[in-house]
Amino acid sequence: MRCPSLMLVTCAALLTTAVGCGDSSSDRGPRAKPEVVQNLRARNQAGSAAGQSGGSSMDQADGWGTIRGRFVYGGQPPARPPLSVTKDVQFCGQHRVLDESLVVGPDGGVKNVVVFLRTRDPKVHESYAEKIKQPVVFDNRDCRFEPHVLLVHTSQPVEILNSDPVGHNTSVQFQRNPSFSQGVASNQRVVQKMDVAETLPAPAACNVHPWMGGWIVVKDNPYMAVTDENGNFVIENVPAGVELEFQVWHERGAGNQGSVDGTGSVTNVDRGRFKVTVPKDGEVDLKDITLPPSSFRS
Amino acid sequence: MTNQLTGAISVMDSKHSPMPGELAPSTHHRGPVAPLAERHGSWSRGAAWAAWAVAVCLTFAGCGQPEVEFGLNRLIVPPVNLVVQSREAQLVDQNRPAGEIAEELATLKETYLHNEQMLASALTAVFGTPDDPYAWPGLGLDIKKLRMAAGPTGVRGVTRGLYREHCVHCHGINGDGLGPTARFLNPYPRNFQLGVFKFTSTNQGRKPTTEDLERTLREGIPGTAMPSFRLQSPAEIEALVEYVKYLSMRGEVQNQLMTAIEAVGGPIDENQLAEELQVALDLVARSWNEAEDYIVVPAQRPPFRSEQERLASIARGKEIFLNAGKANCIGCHGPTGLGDGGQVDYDVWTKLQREQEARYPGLAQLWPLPVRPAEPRNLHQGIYRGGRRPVDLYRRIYAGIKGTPMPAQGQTLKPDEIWSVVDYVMSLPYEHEQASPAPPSVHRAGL
Repeated sequence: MRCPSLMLVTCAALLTTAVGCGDSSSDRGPRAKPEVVQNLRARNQAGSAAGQSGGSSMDQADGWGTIRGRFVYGGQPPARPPLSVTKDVQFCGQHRVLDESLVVGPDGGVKNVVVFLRTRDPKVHESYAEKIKQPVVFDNRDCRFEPHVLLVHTSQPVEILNSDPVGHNTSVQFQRNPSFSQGVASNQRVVQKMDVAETLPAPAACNVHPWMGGWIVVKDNPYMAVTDENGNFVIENVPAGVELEFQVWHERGAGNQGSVDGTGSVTNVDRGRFKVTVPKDGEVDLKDITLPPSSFRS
Repeated sequence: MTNQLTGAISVMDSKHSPMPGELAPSTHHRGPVAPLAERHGSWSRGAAWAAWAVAVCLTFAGCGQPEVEFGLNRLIVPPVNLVVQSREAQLVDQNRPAGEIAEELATLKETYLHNEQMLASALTAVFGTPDDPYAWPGLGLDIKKLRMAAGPTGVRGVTRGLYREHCVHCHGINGDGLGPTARFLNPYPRNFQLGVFKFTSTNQGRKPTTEDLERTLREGIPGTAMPSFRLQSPAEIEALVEYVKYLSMRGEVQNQLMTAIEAVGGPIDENQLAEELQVALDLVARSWNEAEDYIVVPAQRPPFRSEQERLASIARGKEIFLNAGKANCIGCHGPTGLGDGGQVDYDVWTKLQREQEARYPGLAQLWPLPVRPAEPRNLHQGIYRGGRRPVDLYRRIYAGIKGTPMPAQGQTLKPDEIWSVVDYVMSLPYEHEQASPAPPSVHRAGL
C-alpha cells in the first residue's frame, strides 16, 4: 500500500518543519502540577499567601554564648598565581596582585571562608545595637578590594573608597537589592546602602581592572563571620540554649551555592551546613574543620 | 518540538478544535502519536488524507501554535543530570564509599526533580502559560494588555499574539533571547529573564520605566537588529511593553525562587514555597513599581552663547575623558574614543552563562549562543544605541549602562562636567571635519 509510505514522508516533513520553528533549547523542564498551581492562586486570593513554616525556636533561647572554629585545607595548599595586570600598569603593576580566590595560610588555615546563621529570626544581643549602625568600608586599594569579603548588616551604610591614584568602579551584582556599578574617583568616598538581606554573597568587580574581585555578604542579623589568614572565625553573643544552624560558604565552594564539605572532631560540615547549641555564658570551639581539595572548584 | 508536533496532532484528534478567538485551555492536552497509525486502517482513505491535510496546514500556518509552553531557565535551573554529575565528581574525589555516593545522588536527584516541578508550578501559578497568561494580583500587570500580546497570531478580528508575531523569533517564547534567529545576530537579542535593561532613564540598578521600554520599541535600537515598531498602534506597543515586563518578572521570580529553594535545602513543601514565592514577588513588584522614582533628571544648562563656548566645553570634556584618576573613560574607550582601550570584559548575561557553563559543562548545548565579550563602544560612529538626544548620553554617563561594564559616574563627575563629556563624545564623529560643525542635536533639542 502506497499510502503509509507517503504519510511517512509527510510525517518527516512535518517533523522537520516543527523542529525548524521551535525554540532552540530542547530540555525545558517539568510541567506544573495543576493542584499546586491552584492552591497557590487560591492562597493568594484568600490573602493568606505565606504559610507559617516552622515556628521560631528562639523562645527557648536562654542567655548568650560564643562559637569559634578554624577551617584548614586538607591537602597541598594551591599556589596563588599573580593576576595579569593589564590596565593602569604604571600604578597597579607596582603591586604584586595575587589571586585571592583561595588563600591558604602557612599553617593550612583557609582565609575568607564565610560562616553565617541559617536559623531565621534569631534573638540579637544588645551589644550589636550600635555596631550594626557603624559604616563599613570597602576600599579600592592597591588595585584590589580591601577587605576581599565584606560583611554588611542591612542597617549599615557601605563606604566605597578609592585609595588609589587611578579611577576605579565598584560593580556589585545583587539578587535582591538594586545592583550598582559605581565609578569612584581617586580619593573619593561613595556611600551605598543595602536594605534587604541577600541569600548568597554578591560578587563585586571593577570593570576598569578586570582582575579585581571581591564579595559582599548582606544579612539582616549580625551572626556572620569571615575567617582570617589563619582560618579562624569567631561569632560572639549568639543565642544560647537553642540549636542553631550555620552555613559555610566559600567563593570557590564546589557544592551547591558555594557550599563546602568538611570534617572535624566536634562537627562535620555537610553540604555547607552544621548545627550547634551553645551553652549559656559558654563557648563552643569547633576546633579544626578540614576542607578537602574537592570542596573547591579548580 | 515534540510538544508542537503532538500538539498539532492532538488538535486533529480532539473532539473540539479551538474556535477562532477561543482561548486555548491552560491544561495541556498531549495527544499520543502512536494511535494514529493504528486507527488508520479503520478510516476511509479520503478522511485520513483530509485529516493529514488539516494537520499539515495547521503546522505550516502556525509554527507550533496549538500548544506552546514556557520552559525553565536552564542557566539558573540546570537539568538534573548535570547537577547530579557535578555532585558525583565531588563525592568521588572525596573517596566516599560507592554505596554512600549512590544513596546521596539518588536523594539529590529525587529532591531536585521535586523542587524543579514545584518551581515550574509556582511560575505557572503566577504567570500562566504563553497562550493563557495570568496577572497575579500584586504584580500590577494588566491582563487585557497581556492577552493582546500573548497567544497565537492570526486570529481574525481579535488583536492577540503580538509577541509571537513580532518578537518571538529573536527573543524566544520565554523572553530568554534564544529565538531561532538569535544566533545569527550581533549583538544577540536581549534576554529579558534577568530583568536588566541597558537603555533607561533611571539610575543604576533600577528598572526601566514604561516610557523607557515604549521608547525602545518606537525608536528601535540603532546599530542592532532591533527595529522600530512605530507602525504599531500605541495600544499595541503598550501591550508588548506589558508583555516584556511580564516575561522579565517571570525570569526574576524564577531566579529568586530557585535561590531560595536551594537555600532552604531538601524537598520544598507547599507552605515553604508559598512563603518564598511571596518574598520574591514582593521584591520584584517593588523594583518595577518604584522605577519612576529614580529617573535621572539632568541639571539644565543654558545654550552656548558662542562657538568658543562650545569648543571650550568640548575641550574640557576631552580632558575629563582622558583623566585616568577620575572617570577613567580612557581605560575602556581608549585615548581617542575608538573603543580600543584593550579591555576584555563581559556583560551580566554573558557572565552568568560563562559561570554556569564552567560549572556544568553540558550546559553549553542548551544555551546555543557562543560567548562574546562586551566591547567598549567606538564613539566615532555617531550611532547611539540608547538614543542620540544629549539627555540620553547624559544618562548613560550619569547612571552607566545597566548590565554592562559601563559604570555610573553620577557621583564622580559634576553635572556640568558630564555635559562637557557629552559635548566631547558628540563631537567625536565630526572630529576630522575642519570647521567642527555643531552636530544638530548639540542645542539640546528634545530635552
